[in-house]
Amino acid sequence: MAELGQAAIWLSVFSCLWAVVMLWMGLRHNNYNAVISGRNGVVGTFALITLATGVLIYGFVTSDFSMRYVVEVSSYDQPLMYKVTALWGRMSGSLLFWLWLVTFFGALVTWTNRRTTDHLADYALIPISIVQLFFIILVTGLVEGVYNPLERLPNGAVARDGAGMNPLLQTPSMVFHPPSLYVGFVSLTVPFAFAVGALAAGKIGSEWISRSRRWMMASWLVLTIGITLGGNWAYRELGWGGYWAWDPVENASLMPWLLGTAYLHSVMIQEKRNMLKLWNIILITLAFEFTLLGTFITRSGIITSVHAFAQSDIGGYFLGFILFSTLSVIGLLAYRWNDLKSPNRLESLLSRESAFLLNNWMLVGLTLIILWGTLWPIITEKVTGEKAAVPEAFFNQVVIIPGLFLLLLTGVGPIISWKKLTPSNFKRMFAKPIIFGVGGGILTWIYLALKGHTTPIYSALCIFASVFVLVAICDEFYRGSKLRAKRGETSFFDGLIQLIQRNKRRYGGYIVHIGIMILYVGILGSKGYSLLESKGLQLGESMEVNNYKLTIQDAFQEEHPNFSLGGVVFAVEKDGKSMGTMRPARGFYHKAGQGEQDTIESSIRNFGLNDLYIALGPLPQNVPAYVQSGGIVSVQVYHNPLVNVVWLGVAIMIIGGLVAICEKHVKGNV
Amino acid sequence: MKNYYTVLLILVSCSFLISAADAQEQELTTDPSLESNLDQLITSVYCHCGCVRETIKNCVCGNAQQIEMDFRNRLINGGTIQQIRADYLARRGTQFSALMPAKGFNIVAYAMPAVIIVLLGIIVFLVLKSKRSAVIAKESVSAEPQQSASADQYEQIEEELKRYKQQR
Repeated sequence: MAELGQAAIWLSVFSCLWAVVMLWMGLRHNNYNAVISGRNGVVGTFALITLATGVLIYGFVTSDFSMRYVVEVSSYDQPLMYKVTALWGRMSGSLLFWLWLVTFFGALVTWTNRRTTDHLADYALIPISIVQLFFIILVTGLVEGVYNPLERLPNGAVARDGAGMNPLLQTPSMVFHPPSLYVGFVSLTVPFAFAVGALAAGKIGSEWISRSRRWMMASWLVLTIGITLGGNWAYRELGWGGYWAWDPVENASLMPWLLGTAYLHSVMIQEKRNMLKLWNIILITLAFEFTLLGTFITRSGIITSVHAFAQSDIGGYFLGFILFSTLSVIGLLAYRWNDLKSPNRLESLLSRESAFLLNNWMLVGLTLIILWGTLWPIITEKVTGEKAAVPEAFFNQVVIIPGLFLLLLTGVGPIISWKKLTPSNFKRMFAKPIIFGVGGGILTWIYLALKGHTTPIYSALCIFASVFVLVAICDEFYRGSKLRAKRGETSFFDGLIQLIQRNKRRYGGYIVHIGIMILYVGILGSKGYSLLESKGLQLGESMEVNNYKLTIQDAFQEEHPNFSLGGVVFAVEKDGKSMGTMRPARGFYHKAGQGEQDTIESSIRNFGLNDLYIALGPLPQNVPAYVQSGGIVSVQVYHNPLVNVVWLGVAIMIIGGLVAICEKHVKGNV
Repeated sequence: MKNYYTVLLILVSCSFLISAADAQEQELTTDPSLESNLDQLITSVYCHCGCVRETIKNCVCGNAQQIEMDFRNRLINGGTIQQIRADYLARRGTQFSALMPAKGFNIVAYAMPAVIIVLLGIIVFLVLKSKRSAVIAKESVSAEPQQSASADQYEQIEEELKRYKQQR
């Protein structure tokens, strides 16, 4: 079977090349048959890579330990679900999965555009195929640093058992987190390809934007889900009580997301005012390049990360491809320079167009700041010769100002009028949000000052901006729904539904903005006001965190097919009232591949808006015997306020994104 | 209007400088209390166990516990925070420092975000200015006053027009 998969990968090199050549020739010489043949090449590549991926998954399911990759990331006793997810457990497999996604999206673009006559999608299929070719070359095993995932062990050897997957990856979050990130990253290829296709075809109007709009929205949505799942995984599995630490891999996923968000806003100016054509192409190119750059940073091993499970020395190839694709786009931009000039001009500096430009300023600025912080260890090592790690505090300090400004713009954008903000519009739309925002900010300041917090300025500013956003957007919904209810003589609720249905993109976007506001409040609480207490406890002893008292009541040991779990039972009391028990533990995996066998299995309980989070230090394998004999258990307890508000904010963003993506035809007013 | 953006740009850059100045607070101070000193120490260095970017305080591995105990003993025996920290970094490497005070070459790290934002701001400002000046020139030729309406107002006007056409 493995040989069949290898043959499929090799054949896909030819089908991919075929697609590029036939599409290019067909489009150049107006030969429809050649174009159809090129499209077939794209679909053929998808079929071949699907076959290769299927063979590898079959190898995992049947525990074929003659295959090198299966030996490295799987084992007999690994649960079936994790045998399948081992596909993206290390470098070779994750590249194959990435490749499969690019080919799948290529086939999907071919299918969804099969009846279009303008050939824009055919032009877009060329860059998609070139990206496919790059990944195919990586998985053939020809390049140094990565082997063919379908390769067999040398000399016909068959291992007795596999090494097993890293235990940190054997969690439900990891079943969904990497694929969603990959889908988000890879689907960015499609809008990028449409932009390149539009440049090549000379069709630089809004057509390429509307054709790739759903792709971009889907990509943004899935990236949002992927990043959040990653944060949730870190929170549950790593045992340090947080969900975001500005780790290079986290940053690598956030940067394309920020650029994608900037693009989603700036395209509205092109659709509405026929402006920023050049900027939109630059933005989508940057978003695409940052997916590769992130992969380069994290896969090359030049920066260490808690999430880098698949490092090798393929970074150079990614860097080369980034240079090649960027230079190609620059060449095309130069070629079409005269067509990229916009006929329209800004009528006022105080307008929605300007607000969107400011939003782009902050989003791109944030991306570059994060890139700067991520690359700082390399810069400092080159200049001073000393290795450095950039602490979380650095990022928190440097992103806070643009972050807060961006939050404020989240409220300004929806209520400021297109073309020009008149004094009457300002009074009508801005008075309420400003009054409520200032009130909220002052109350927060007073509350925090009374509680003894020394620097409540950023918290007060965050609450000011959050209340501003909430009031501004709720007012928009309220006025719109009331108007509809009055016109249609229906209830306010029906008016609200009609309002959203009539312009899903606009109101879906507003829902996303509310989600972002809630997310900020969650980040403020969980990052700014988290508490940590550490103590060594024996059976029957207690510790206190905030107004919670935790007492070790018992110990337990559980046996699972591929790991054992040993931990202690804490009785939890709040203000003297029993709140049940919590069971933090340590896992011990029989096989751990490249990871640690000993894992932290933290226990998290939600009390209203706060989380109580317990992680244990290392324990011997027979925990009950150790604890009963008076052994000391090292305990870390976090009191994390508003973490659930973070997840709630993201959930609302996703709902808003889903509403917005349902819009079939883009209207003028956004 | 131009002044509005200039003021905005100045405000943003000032706030960055304030945030960079805040970084100075990260520098270690000597507190007479043992627990407070220990807390400063264990939050100022990362654990070398492999749990990347977890301070000794955050890390729950066995190494972190040992290191914390060692730090405590050295503090009791009269060691200073600076000495103990410097020893740890000399032994393990500077990449295990969890502090990045805005001193020396690090000033570049703290200053660059402000530079990035200000440079991008200047670009946005110039784009807005150039686009705006073209409009001002156009406006001066046709002296007609420009009216603008919000999206909702446009929507309402469209509805009214539709209703009017139906009535006719």
